[in-house]
Formats: sequence, structure tokens, C-alpha cells
Amino acid sequence: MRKARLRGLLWMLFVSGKQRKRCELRETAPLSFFPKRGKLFFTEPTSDSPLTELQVAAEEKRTLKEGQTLSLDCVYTKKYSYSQKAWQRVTDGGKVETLAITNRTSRKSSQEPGGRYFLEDDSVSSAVRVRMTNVQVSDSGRYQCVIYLPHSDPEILSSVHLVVTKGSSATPVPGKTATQNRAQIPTHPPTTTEAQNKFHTSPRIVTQGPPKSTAGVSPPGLGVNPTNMTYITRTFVFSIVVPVVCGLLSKSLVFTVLFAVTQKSFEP
Amino acid sequence: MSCCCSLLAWALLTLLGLGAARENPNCCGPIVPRREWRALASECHQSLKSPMRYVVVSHTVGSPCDTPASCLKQVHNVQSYHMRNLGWCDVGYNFLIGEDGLVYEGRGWNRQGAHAGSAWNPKSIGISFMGNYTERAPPLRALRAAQSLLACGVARGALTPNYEVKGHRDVQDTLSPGDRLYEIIQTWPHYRD
Repeated sequence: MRKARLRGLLWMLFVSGKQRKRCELRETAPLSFFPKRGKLFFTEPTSDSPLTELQVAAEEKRTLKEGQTLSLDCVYTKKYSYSQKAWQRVTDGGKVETLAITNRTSRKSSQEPGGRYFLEDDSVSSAVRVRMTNVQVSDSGRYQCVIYLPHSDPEILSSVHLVVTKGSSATPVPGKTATQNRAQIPTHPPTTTEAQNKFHTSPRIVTQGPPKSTAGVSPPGLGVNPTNMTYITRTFVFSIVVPVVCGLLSKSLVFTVLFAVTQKSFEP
Repeated sequence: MSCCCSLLAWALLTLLGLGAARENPNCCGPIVPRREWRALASECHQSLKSPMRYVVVSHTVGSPCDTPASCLKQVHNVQSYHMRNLGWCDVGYNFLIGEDGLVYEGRGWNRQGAHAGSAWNPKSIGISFMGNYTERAPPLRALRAAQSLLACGVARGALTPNYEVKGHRDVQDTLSPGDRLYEIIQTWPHYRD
């Protein structure tokens, strides 16, 4: 009797191992097992929480040096071909500041002299090309591409976490950076009303600062240098370390339980 | 007492089995590898940053095929058209689906395809049904093959768990993937227009 039970347990262990090979059958049945299992074992983004979904799936991290140019494509689908698109900064408090917006007819953002934000809506590729020239440390933070919808909240296409580090880029232009800094300082005092928020308002000051032909100085393609290192280590952790650790933990748990059970069943 | 214990152990083992099943990257349906359809060597170098958020579904508009032998030939034809006539570095799609219900490996999960335009190619996996689906729908076995391929992509970490399926016409000016197939993919749980 006891032996039979033990055999049953061992068989179960064998089956639990075997089960791994059969998952594709279950996964073809949409929305049945799949989300539940995710919730049971891992704290993964679940499709019913839009915020985590956005952060995990769409947020991309870019690291640039001061003076470089951030450039990226935000893809959209045809139903938004004729909508206006905007580039926004999201502050830590969740406040959204629109930095550039495309014009309905020209499909580009209006480029004021000295402006650093530039959008171009390429309807053939179904993408908005975003360029942000001469990035500064104070520009670090979250940005997003959005579609302006006439009767509802804007639709977020993708978001980027920008980190700007000190130190000059590959082609330093010391003279220009100096004028840039000098231009920035005098505009600061008048904005004392927004002093409590000065971190977030500083990029706006830069845009509206006096004309300074820095936009033409930093070569567009040269500054782009996204570092994927953190991304790679993250995928490494998720794809290798987590399964290995989980596997070891689960196996040791199983063997502890089995050991306990066998001990119990062989007791006189 | 020991009965109770063994029940507990059973429950635990079942749960662990389920958990493990989800994480295993090898749980994919059969994918016909490139060497099996005698693919020309790829000259592509652009890689994709996994996991991908988007999947773009298209059709080839070429001849359909409903046996492994004819599909093998058809994949080969598509590749040779893309490489020899269009001068591309490889067949444009990441995967091709035959009416034989099999998935044929194109550029695979890790290399950037040429199927949805310069902005969408680096951000999506392109899967193409071999045939023209303007007037008729692909057989269920082909649709099942595509769905299980996508589930496999999630299991391998090549697609995000909340990946989005788009029709080729959602991202470019084209009739692809054909009216009938487009109607079908719009009912898929991961489809977002």
C-alpha cells in the first residue's frame, strides 16, 4: 500500500517533468490557462493593467552624452495617418508637457529658431521621426510619442527613458556649449514662479531661449549612440538566471517534500 | 496523516509542473528549418532586439501550397524572388505559413525582416501566409500553426507577453493580407488596430 503510494508520487514527479514538453498545445487555446499561470508564479505584467504594460513593452532606455542627438521612430497604424502627433515629456509627478506637435498639412512640427525638438510624420512608413538635438543632463527623464485624438485622451505610441550623462560627445564643440550655457542662465531668473518645478521647466527654457544655431551644429546621425548594455543584462537575467533559480528552488522543494513523505510512510 | 501528506505533494507537483511549462523556451510546434527547405545562405546582418512588441501578418500573393513537398518548393521560390529579383539579403519574412499547416523559418526570431517598411521592420516580426487570401480564407491548420508560432515566440522570450498583431495593411498602403485573412486576424486576441 505504502509502496504503491510512493510509486504514485514518483510517477507524478516524472509527469510534472514531462509536462514541459506539451505546452504548445495548451498555449494555442487563447486566453484560457495562460494569464492565470503567469499570475501564479511570476510577477509579470498582466494584460489587464495598462500602466505596467506600457512600461514593460514600450519603454525603451536610451543613454546619450551631453550635446548628442536623440533620434527615434514612433510607429503607428494607418487609422492614425491623419491625426496630429506630439512629443511629450512626462515629469516625475505624472504631469505631461508637450514639446512639439505635428502640423496637419505639412506633417512636420513647426521649427522655431533654436528649437531642439523636431517631428516629422512619415505616412508612407507609418512612423513619426523624432529628433531632439543637443541633449543636456537636465533633459534626462521620460518622454512619449502620442496621437492627439479629437474627443478623447491622447493615445500613447511609445515611451522612452532618456539618460543624459556628463562629458562631451565624440565631436566636442566647446565654443558652442559655452554659448549654450550662457544663453541658458539669463533665462532662469524670470521663471522663479515655477521654482518648485525647476527641473521640469528647464527644457522648455532651452527651447524658448534666444536663437542659437546649435541645431545645425551637431550632426544628426553622429550623436545617436543608444547603449543596449542594460537591456542585454536584463534579458540575460530574465531568460537564464530566473529560470535556473526557479528550477533549482522547485526541485529542492519537491525533493524535501518527497523525503518527508517517504520518511512518514516508512515509519512504523 | 501520510495520506494528507501525499495529497499535498500531488497538488504541489501539479502546480510546479504548470509553472515550469510556461517558462520552457523549447515548447514550440514544429518549425521547418532553413536547411530543410534548402534555403540560400542569408546575407542579412541586422539583428532584432528581443522581445518584440509587434507582429505583422501579410500574405505572399503567390501560389498557395497544401503539401509539405509543394510548400517546400514555394518557400524556396519566394526566397529566390526576394534575393535574385529584388536583390534583398534573404527572404523578407521572419516566418512563412503554408496551407500544409507547417511553419517555415525565414529570417527567424533574431534577424530583422523586410516586410513592413523601414520604420516597422526593426520593431516587428513578419509572418506571411503563402497564397492569396482576398477571396478565400486560409485553412484552419494554417491559422493554428500561426497562432502556436506566436505562443512559442512568447515562451522563448522573442515576443512580449502582451504582443500586438497588426495586419500588413494597418502599417503600409497595401491590400495584404487580403480581405478574408484580415477579417480573421482581427478576431485574434492579440490583434490591435
